[in-house]
Amino acid sequence: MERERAWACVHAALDERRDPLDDALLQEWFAAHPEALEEYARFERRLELFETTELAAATERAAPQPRRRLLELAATLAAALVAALAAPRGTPEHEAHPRSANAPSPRVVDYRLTATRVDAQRSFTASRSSDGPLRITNTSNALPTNGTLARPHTDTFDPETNR
Amino acid sequence: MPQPSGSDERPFADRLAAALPELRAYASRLVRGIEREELVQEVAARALRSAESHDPRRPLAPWLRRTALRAWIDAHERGAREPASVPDPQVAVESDELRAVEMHEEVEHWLGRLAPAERDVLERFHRKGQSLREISAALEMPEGTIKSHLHRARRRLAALREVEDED
Repeated sequence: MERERAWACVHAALDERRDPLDDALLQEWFAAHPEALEEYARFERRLELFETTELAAATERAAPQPRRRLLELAATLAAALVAALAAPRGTPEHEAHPRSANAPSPRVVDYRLTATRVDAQRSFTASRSSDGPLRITNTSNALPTNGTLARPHTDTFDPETNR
Repeated sequence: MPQPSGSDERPFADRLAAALPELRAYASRLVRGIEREELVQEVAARALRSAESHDPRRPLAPWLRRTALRAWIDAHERGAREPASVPDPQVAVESDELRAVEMHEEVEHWLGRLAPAERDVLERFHRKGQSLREISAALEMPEGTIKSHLHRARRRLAALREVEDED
């Protein structure tokens, strides 16, 4: 089976709301071409994202964007967040009541991570509260024209001090 | 392995055991060596967990092959999310979520490239759950045209990486 024929089978299955992986022809195709399975997996994940997430571009045409810039900003924010969590929290009060060796370490109960794309004045925020699901929101306006980055915000709970 | 027609009265575990050689052969086409055995074990475990969802009137082999493909995809995505050089679970969570943001961005980009008709059809089919016939009636277009729009939009989604590389 050729690649085009395989993808026609994928479309036919989706059109009938069947799982393409149930299709006998595709099962053979993917076994013969595991790299095509990787491509299919990426496609399926994106489609799932489209089905479940509100996207701003549904109503407006997005401009071509430098993806690298977003990733750099997001990576910087993630590094800042991790560094903030890893930093020692030595205050006089903590020194007066040192944590015992068996005490549980501080746990992040909620956080928000925002990446701002300067050129498009758009930001993406990933947040999670307690054990709730990850939420991704997209803001396409009301950003400063100089593209100021939102600062990562973290809350920690220390079971020893109850703070 | 050929399956008898009609309902197979054997216990599920027996049917699964009988199907293992064929499953192993199928798995060896997807992965090699120790990964093959891991995949077979994962498929067998999933099959036992969801045995009730299998219709005994249908052959087991295709069901197991689909489970194998699904397990392969899950393992592949897990591998992509958990690089060996990241020992800190907190960092791993952050990487995972950054990847989600990145993918969100990719899909946004893809949507922005679609023609309005393609976007409309896609939205109706994949988000609102409308059938091709319903979309055809609502947009007053032949069903074949609706399918063309839908397939073109999906093809663009599948080829997104190549499209971005052209930018």
